[in-house]
Amino acid sequence: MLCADCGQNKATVHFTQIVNDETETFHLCQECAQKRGLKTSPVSSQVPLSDFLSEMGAPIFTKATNANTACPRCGCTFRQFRKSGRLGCAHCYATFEQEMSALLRKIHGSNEHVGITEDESIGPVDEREARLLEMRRNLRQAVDNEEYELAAELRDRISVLEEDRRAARATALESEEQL
Amino acid sequence: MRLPGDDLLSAVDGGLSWISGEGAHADIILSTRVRLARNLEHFPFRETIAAAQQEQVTREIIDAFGEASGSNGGSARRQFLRLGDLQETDLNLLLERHLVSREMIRFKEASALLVSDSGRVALLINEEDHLRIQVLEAGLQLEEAWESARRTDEELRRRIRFAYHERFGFLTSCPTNTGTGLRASVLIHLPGLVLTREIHKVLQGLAQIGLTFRGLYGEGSDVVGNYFQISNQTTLGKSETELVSHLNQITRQVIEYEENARQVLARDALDEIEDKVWRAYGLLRCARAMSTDEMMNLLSAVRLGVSMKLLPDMRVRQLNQLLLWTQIAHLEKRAGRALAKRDREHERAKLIREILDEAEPGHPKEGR
Repeated sequence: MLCADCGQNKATVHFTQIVNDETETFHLCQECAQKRGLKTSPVSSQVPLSDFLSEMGAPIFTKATNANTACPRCGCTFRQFRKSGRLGCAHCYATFEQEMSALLRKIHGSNEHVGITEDESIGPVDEREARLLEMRRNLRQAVDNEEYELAAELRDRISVLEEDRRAARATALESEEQL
Repeated sequence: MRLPGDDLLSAVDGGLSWISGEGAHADIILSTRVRLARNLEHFPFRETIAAAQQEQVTREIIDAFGEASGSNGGSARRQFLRLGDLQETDLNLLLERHLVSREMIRFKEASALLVSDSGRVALLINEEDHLRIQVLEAGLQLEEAWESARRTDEELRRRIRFAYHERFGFLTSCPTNTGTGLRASVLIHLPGLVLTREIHKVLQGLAQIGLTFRGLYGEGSDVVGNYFQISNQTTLGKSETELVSHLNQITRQVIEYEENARQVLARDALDEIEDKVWRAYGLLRCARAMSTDEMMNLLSAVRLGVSMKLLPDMRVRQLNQLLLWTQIAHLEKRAGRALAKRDREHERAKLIREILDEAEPGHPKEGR
């Protein structure tokens, strides 16, 4: 088969482009493929995502979002994401939901997560553990903000909780031994 | 918790249970790795996060992990390292052991590593994602490695909320990891397929069924010494167990292809193969200077020779030591100083002779 662009060389690069659900397949020679900006290294599975994205170009966009729409939480724009291949924060997935949905399907062949879910198989979150973590976080913030009175109070409350936990564990161990 | 991680950096096998060579098919499969990418719900990703927030991320993960093993009785020894505190040689040492990534070294000021004493479970903190849970096992142990990763993730999820989207699953900085965040891989030695020129068919086949391959040191690294890392390409749309068992099944198939290729070699070209592996052994045994590339190629032949029982019996552990201890940072750590290229090549050759001496004291014996 000859190259569709120059009609002279043998077509060695075959690629399919999908725009708005319409597929079009091109058969090109190495040179013409490069002219069109296609990368044709033999180990192409390692093409960085940013290249992948820019090759895909406009089709990723839906009309709803333009490239300068910014994520309200981190300020990252879709243009920045396309350049770096990295999102700014978890909320970007919601901000660019339509685009991400299309992109994830392109990358993974699916955009529906199957598998372990957030709450699966962990049972109820241990209230005491959660409170302890929360208080430690507050303690660090208090120290950072030089709110030493608050810090001292938090420290006391943390040690009470920790004592409480130690006692609970000891009881649990005892009852295990008795079994 | 022991601070700082002295054992990890001073012990030659520190954090390296896989080097033992135990585990199924350990002569062909060096190690199995499973990693889960996770991000904390309320913090921005690496692109936009502030240094102070990265410190908070580190603290939350340490706290949660500490509590997690506390509730199991808490006797597991573990070590915590801040990459910003380490010398270059130590950073490279951890890189050679696959315990940190190049990415973490590039952003070392914020990065940290929490690793169980055996090195089986490591938490890579402030990598491209806030957290990478990594499990390394010897030989082919995908199910086991996944089980450890799953349990660690579950323990952490009791205490911290990870960024999650109802439809997309666990959210990651790069959309290629979104969903399960799972990357399972095996490090596999395929000299038979390379010598019989069947390797390209196998690698092409892998690409068609959603798997991908890389060199020894991950993304972008060259294939040297016939070592390939095979892993799942996609992370979304299939469950973790599906991804892991698919890779497991295909890996077993690749092992079978490799074993067939070795049988073909033994049948059609035994003299050449014998000569090749004995020459490699002779060079390793006697050379006074050895470059990394030369060593990797010779070692591949010796590993093949031992596996095909053409060479004196040697433990897989010794083959693994030869591979790892002779890497640059390991040599420098052992010498206690930076080594210029020529020095390094001398030190490497010397260490190889020592390991081989221990494997088979005295001079090389006659073959068959």
